[in-house]
Amino acid sequence: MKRKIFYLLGILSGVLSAIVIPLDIIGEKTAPNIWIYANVSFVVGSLISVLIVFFLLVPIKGKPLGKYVDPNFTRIKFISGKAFKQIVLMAFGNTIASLGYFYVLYAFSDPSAILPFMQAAVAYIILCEIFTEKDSPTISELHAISSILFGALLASMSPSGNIDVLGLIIVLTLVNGGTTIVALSQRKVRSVVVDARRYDSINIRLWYLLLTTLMFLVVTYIMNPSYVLEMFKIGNEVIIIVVVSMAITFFAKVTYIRAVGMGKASIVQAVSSVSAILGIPITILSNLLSPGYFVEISTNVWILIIKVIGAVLVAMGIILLALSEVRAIVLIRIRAGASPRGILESLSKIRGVIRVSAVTGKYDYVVQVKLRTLGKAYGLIASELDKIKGVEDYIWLSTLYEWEEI
Amino acid sequence: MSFLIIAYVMINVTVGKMRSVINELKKIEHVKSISVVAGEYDVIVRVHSNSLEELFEVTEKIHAIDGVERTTTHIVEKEVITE
Repeated sequence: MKRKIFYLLGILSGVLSAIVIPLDIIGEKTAPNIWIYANVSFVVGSLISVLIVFFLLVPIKGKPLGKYVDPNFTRIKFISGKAFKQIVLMAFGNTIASLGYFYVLYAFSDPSAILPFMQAAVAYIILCEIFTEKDSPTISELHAISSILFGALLASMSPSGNIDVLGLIIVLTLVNGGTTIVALSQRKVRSVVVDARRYDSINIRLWYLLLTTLMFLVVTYIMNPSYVLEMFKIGNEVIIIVVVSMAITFFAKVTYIRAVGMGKASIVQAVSSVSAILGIPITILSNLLSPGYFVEISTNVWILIIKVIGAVLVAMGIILLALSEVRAIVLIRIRAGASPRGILESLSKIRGVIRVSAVTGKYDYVVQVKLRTLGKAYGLIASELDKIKGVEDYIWLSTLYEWEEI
Repeated sequence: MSFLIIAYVMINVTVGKMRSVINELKKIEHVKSISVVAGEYDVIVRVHSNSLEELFEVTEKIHAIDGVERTTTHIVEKEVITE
């Protein structure tokens, strides 16, 4: 039963995030200009987020409601120092990605082309990691990355059988590049510890969104001041579309977080990648429900088949990446006289290590490890452990099954 | 005043009893996560308790499970989470 709910939530999150795209296309066509629509989206989105955060401050049984969403949440707090730099980077990445996203919405008007591409950002993150690790990729990573990228290319084919080169370049550079910056700096924010606490996801999201809105307004103002100024003259129908689109995005995030709370994040990611395939039925449906707003889906069977193959390749690539993830627990013994603090530091810096605990007993450290494939275990973990002075001995326990209390 | 005591309990399980041991472990309060591993131990359990007394009660409950052969408890002194 619970398992079914888990998969259902994952799929729901994929479906919800796919529905937002046709809504945005309708909104963009209703508004006088794509950038005015984009600005309204950001401003309304920020206002709603602030309201939600205030709502999360309401105490229930002495604890703010937000604590049930993220246990680290206590109050609204400014993000400062090292973490602030990362939040600025996240907002910068999102601004770039959003500029690309809204341009592509305007230029393509075709959800079936946009959705698979948005999923391709995963491939970028891995490519980045491969470069920073200076490690050759494993065969399954190469397989997944090429499947995602080629799949996205096929899926982006227009009804006439062409591939829009400009649109392609924008997605590949701006949208996916920006998304990659967001993902990589988000990881860093979460690892910053202040007063023995990490920043909670609610505050991170709030400040990240507010900063993005600010940056986006500035950029569009520079492009043309009227994009910002005419925002206030916008009709009610546009506001309604924005609010509905924001609400759906919000529920997509909530279902995603709920699903992650129930099971492994990687499986949720894999399951919600159905949104790549959903692009085609969603385009057909949107054309039926509100004709005129979208690119007509091709009636050429071959083009449709190619698009379906592309979308399936994207989804399969993501599923392959998500499910080949390997977890292990490494137990480490250190030599007498070695500095425990230094070793804790060095261990936590190893890529793939997600938690280091100094413990009492037969072993001195319990290290939890997460790797994309077992092939990385030697290069990333074992060779690094060998370099740390003071490590006497370690045993590697591969995790076969995992359960976590929700 | 409650403070968190985190511990890892390494468990060796009798062959053939794994499934029932896991099901029993899931029912124990304060058991935060269960990992079935291949190697020196069979199961590694993470416990979040409010006191040493409570941790003792948890390990006692684990000992009482049919199929648990031996346990080793490691109390966490310091922790760095990087994810």
